[in-house]
Amino acid sequence: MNQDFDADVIVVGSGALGSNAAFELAKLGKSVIILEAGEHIPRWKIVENFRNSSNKGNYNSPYPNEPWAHHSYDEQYIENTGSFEFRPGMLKLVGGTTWHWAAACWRYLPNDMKLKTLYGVGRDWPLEYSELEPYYVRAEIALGVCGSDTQDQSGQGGGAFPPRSSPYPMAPEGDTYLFQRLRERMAPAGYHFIHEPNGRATEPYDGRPACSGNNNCMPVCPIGAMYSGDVHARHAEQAGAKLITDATAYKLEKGADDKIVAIHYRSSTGADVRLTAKYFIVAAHGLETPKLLLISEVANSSDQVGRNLMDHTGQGLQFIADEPLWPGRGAVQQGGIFNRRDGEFRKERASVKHSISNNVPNIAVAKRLIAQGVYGKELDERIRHDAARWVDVSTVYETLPLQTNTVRPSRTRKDALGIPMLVVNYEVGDYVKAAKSGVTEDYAHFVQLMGGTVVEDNTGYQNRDHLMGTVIMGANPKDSVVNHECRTHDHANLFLATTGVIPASGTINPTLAGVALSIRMADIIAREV
Amino acid sequence: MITRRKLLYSGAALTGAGLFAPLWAGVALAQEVSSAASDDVESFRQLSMFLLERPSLDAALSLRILAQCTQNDPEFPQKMKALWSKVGQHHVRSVGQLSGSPFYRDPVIKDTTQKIVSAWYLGYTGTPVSLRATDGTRLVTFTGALAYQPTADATVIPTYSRGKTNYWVNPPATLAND
Repeated sequence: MNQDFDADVIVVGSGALGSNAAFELAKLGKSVIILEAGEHIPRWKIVENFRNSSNKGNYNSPYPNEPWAHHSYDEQYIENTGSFEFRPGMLKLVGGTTWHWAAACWRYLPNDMKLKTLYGVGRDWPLEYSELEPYYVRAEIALGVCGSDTQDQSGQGGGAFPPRSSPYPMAPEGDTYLFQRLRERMAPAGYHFIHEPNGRATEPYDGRPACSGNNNCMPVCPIGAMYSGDVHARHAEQAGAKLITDATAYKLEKGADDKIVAIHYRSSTGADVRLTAKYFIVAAHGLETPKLLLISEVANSSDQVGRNLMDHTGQGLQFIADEPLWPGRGAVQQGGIFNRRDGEFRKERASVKHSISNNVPNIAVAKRLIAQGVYGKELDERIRHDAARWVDVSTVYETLPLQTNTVRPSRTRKDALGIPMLVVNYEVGDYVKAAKSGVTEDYAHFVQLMGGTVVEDNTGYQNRDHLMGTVIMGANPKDSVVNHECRTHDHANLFLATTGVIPASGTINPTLAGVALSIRMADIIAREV
Repeated sequence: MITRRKLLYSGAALTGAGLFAPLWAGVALAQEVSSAASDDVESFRQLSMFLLERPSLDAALSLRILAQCTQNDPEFPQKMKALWSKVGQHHVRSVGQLSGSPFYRDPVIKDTTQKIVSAWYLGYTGTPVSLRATDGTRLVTFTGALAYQPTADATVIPTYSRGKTNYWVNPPATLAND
């Protein structure tokens, strides 16, 4: 161990991406410090918080919201200046926001990463799918992903795709009856149902039990069958990394040679600490990472830090089918329809993914019926009838990076530590809007194929909590923040482990790609430290 | 303001099992309904059973809903009693008859009815606000929320699985009759 530095590598953030990078480095004998703004909360407490929550549809509600470590639904945390209320459900605690995801572990398609070259819109990734592929394999092993090795995940009904050098670590879970019936009735119309590779164990894996269908992946898996970032925070600690909680990084200190020399953090007890390291990884998610760079005045020679903010813009459909399908048995989602995932149409409009939700729908069903004035014994009968037939489709659109969709540190609002909170300016782009009619068409067709009665088919645009673009990756230092290694163009020893680097969003949940990039950057750093 | 002794009595009367109720439960109830009068408690219990068409209801939950609704709206006890007396005056025999009756068009009557039924079925009072840290909702019960009961044989109350991996590949045994 080097005595001239506090650590070889300091990682800011203990979520899935930061913790995986930290674990890989610690495993190789590097000294690693992880700084986490929040605290360690054991799973059982989060489960009890959920059970005692009065707003169970609010996935942040079981999690801490401290004046020095807000979750993102805090009224003060994000100020929106655009017409769209951009408010993803982000957490601050050991393990980060993968405490409440549904563990979708899709890979990008090779074409997703060449959007500009193939379709003339947006940006290309500065690396090829084939370069990322071995790290996808490692990320899938780390997260314990189960998936199908035979399906065409591009949604075109072909053979196994995208290419894999290694099978999934675990076989997929069995198809729910809901999924089976929807496929039986909708596939003949040309809809390709694709199983969603996911980070839920189907057999005991890395200390996690197999999923038993508690149907609560969001906001918390009660048994830890679903992967969450605390797994690798723990692994990193066991491999020798030092995890410091209640430690909010607020300044990256630049040295004379454009390298970062130190990081400053503050705790709720008032302590201000300066730590030095050879390398720094900021893994503070797609909003906090650019904020930290901006308030530190680093890595922004391109003026791209905090720009190009993307989420997969969402939309939803609920209807009541003409036969009992019994959603709510198993995990909260299992896959969906990907026909619009790729094609020449991307020259003009966004690609689209429809996912089938599988939540126990009783509360939503009962709420609707009560509002309609259904009471008494009839209410019980109708709850059973409608809950058995409830179909909930969650759609996402691909988005393009726009200079004007931004996240900035607030000039007026600070947290209890005196650190600026966030201002977001977000507009849903024309590329998304151009794809809406196709979604409307699909929705009508789904309802017709299932003999359905529409509950809601025009939700408006929604958040999907997939933060991308804000520290955008590219080959050109003049228009991007990091290179293909996730190394900042401006500072050779500063890396960013966040889905905020992703320059072309595709339609898939970006966490697996983020973990793959984090493992890759750990390899790169390990060679240099 | 009713006394703790009265409260314990009313709780016992409600359940018919008060003798076996632990004392701390009574203390907790006392805190929850400190503002509720005992005749309100009884009216609320009767009205709830009428609206839900159930012969019995959990006494602790009944007190909790009454207390929360009263805290959210100090006029709730009056509104609730007005609804109950309308039901009596008009000889309304079922909740189905109630929702078809002319006086149900009164927004206060309808709102009061829906508040009560919602609290029992959804397990909370107040109106959830999405994407915010706080709202006016309060928990009544999770596992006791009546909305889960009609499907209890087929689907779980989230976090409480009763199955094992892949049980979900088969539909519930009742499928043919669903």
